[in-house]
Amino acid sequence: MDRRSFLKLSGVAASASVVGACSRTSQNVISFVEAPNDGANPVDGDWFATTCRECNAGCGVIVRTVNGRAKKIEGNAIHPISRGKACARSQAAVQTVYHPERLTTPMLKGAGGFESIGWDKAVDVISQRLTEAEGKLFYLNNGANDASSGIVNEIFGKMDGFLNVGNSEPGFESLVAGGAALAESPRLPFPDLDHAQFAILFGADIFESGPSPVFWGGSFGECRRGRASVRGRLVYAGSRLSSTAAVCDLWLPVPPGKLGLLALSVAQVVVDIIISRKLALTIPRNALGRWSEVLKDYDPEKVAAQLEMPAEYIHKLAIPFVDESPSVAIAGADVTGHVNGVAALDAVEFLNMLSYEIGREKLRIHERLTPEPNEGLKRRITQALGVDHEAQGYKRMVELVAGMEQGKYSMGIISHTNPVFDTPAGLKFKDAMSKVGFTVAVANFMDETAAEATLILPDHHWLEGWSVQNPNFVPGVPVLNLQQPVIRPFVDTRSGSDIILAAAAAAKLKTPAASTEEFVQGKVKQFRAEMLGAPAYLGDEEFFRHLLRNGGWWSSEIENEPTPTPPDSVLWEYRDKLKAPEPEFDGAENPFYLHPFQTVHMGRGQGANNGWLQEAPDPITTLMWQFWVEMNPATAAKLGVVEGDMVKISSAHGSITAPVFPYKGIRPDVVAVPIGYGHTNYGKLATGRGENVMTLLGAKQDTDSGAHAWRAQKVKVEKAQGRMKMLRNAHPEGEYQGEVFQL
Amino acid sequence: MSFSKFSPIAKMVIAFITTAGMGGGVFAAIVYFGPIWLTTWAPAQPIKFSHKLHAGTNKISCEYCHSYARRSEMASIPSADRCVYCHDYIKADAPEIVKVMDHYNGDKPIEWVKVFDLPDHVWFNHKRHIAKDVPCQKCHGPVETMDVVSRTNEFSMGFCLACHQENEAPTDCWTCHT
Repeated sequence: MDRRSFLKLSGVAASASVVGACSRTSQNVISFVEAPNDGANPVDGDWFATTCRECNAGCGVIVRTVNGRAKKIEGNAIHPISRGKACARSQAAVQTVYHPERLTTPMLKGAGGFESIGWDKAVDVISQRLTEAEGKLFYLNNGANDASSGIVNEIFGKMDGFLNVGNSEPGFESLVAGGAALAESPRLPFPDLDHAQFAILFGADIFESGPSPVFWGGSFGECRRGRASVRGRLVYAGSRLSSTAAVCDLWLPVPPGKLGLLALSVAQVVVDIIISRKLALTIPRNALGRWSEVLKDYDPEKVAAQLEMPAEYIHKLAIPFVDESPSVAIAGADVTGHVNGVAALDAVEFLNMLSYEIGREKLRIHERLTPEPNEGLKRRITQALGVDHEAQGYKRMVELVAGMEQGKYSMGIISHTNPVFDTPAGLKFKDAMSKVGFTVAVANFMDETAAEATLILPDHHWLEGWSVQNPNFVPGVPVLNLQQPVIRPFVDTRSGSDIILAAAAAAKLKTPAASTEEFVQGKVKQFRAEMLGAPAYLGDEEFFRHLLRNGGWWSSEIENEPTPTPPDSVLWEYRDKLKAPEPEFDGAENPFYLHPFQTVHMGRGQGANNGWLQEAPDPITTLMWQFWVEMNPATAAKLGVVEGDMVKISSAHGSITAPVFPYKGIRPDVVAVPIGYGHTNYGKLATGRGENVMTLLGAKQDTDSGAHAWRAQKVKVEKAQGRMKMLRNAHPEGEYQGEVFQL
Repeated sequence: MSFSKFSPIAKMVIAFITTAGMGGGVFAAIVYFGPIWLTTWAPAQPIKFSHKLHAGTNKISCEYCHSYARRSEMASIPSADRCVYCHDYIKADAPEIVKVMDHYNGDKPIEWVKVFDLPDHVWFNHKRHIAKDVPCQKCHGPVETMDVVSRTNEFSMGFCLACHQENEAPTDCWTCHT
């Protein structure tokens, strides 16, 4: 190298190093044009009270918003249902507001698929169809009793040919029907776990799914730790050790469909104890005698073999049921999921009735609503919002499908529910839906049902819109939940019910209000006079704002009295309800019982497109972003499979493949598959992940209520090709692999 | 003595040492002079707002505009409507004020250029410092003398720690690196 080139080279090197250090990216700080809410702090955030709408439990939540963005959802501490807690789905809802796959424009199906149309055109199209339909339409939602259902029912409810349908939580109608004779009016049974000393959960996965998991979770806390000297004891009877069962003290692996038998056997011992100890109860002695006679067939010695447990276990349930009073019996999916669900529930509620008589004054039953239950406030609110319990459930879905097949409906409105995905194959919902001329799907995301609709209306997220909600479960006091927008709409959506109002008005139909917000205010005004505890001196607008600050209205001023003893005639007749019919199974010739179950995250499948929920480890298996089938290690050994091996699970209705997860907490003759996976059209995160267990299920129904018997399916399980690496967060037996957590 | 007279290996060694030395020198210059150079960072802003005129001559309190400083982690840049409170009628025809009104009336936020910033791994809470009566100028310098705001202090960890040590404020890691 010569000097010249050397100097050139080093000069370049030197300047290069200076240039590298020189660059600086400038950043901007963008202020508001108008500071929001003078006096409030837009920098650290404001909290707004509203109601979570991820399921129909109706939990009150508070949402922290910063700079107009929703940041965090927490339970509303003063709300009687959530009591300050919020579940995983509620917490993850902030993600769905800002989800990149949110629908942003109305879409009308044309020859070449969906095309975006403007809002005005959407209103025109709907109003045109409403005029043509002349009342022959159906409204299908997820069972919610809210402003949207209220508006639709006020417009169309009295028209000939209108049908209201709630695609509710499976087993809903069985819960209402079971033990109904012992109650004064239709209700969801909610025994008082908070104040109980001993509880038997009959297949009730209440802390993770069902009508009100957050409330039950709070009750569990109260039962265990809420009292200074009493720690409640819980026993779980069912086919699988769910995460609910995992927090109980004892798991009894009862054969599927036999929980009613167990309840009756426990009742037999309880009645025996009452008679032999001559306990002074309000129940007439001759009724006791009548029951004792019919329950003789359910003596533990006689049924222990069927229940696959020693007879003394049944005594060990019955004796504390009397001695550790107050005690409660709670029934859930393992009861309602069979054809004998209502019969089993009759037995469980019978146990509860006995328990209340034994522990009179000690228990406050939550289902007690108002002094005049039939005409009471709760019933009138329900009627005002349109969807009563008869409109909810599988039986009504079957009626809808039959109607669709017969061409009874010119159009349908489907709001925030995905029946094409979450109903059993045996119902054949998709085929029936294709026979309806015009369907409108009100949704936040494209899903399997929206894809089948004629027109899709992108709705506000529940954080962005108005509603009023009557929760299915009311904890001893009537509750009217309010849902208010906590942020401005993130994308150009409109409230679905506002569009329906506009279309109905354009079709010259009588509408209850000009907007959903007005409707909500109207409902508050309608019931204001009966809202005990609410300040009477406020004007209507201030009163409404006062309720919004709390998240709604509820009152503990209404006396929550102990359950009255049913009248003698009812008790006398109840003998006829004390029976345990055999369960029936679709595919009875197959060797394994299929146990589909809801997880906390996926619910019925709506959680699958949410990354936070996919990432949250399943409480039992710790699996994430993963689909699986649980089977007992003995079963796995017999099939010659280990964790991660693929197996094919099949029934007459279809088949799925799933990777095996050996799990000790399940009967060897049962395989469990989580619900909510296997979407075919629900966005990048959900589509193609796992398989849909609903495709294996037939359409068997409960003999009494018509509820879907979703645990009444038997299946074949065979080893299949391939393996999958299981994405686990931890070892399912715990850090010490069973040394601390003993199964 | 000609460079070319050295052996090839010797030439390479000398070339390497020289380059390294020059590079090192440049680097040292940046490290030594850099802070001063960086703190004369006085970027041009979309609106020629003068703190000297408002906070100095007119003695308007810092917290009148930066109103969230005592209530929040962040001091916050005032919203456009804060300017409008006065300039709706004071010097409403001045060109810079017309620009502000255009932003306000057109609902367009003003995109200020950040002068004071901390890296993401540092958490600073204004509210606590104001509660302890730390004057704004302590960190931000004599802002009331500046027509265009510039950084007079280097926001290095040493700068923060020195004051924390002097005033017996917490110096454990989680205080700021939370």
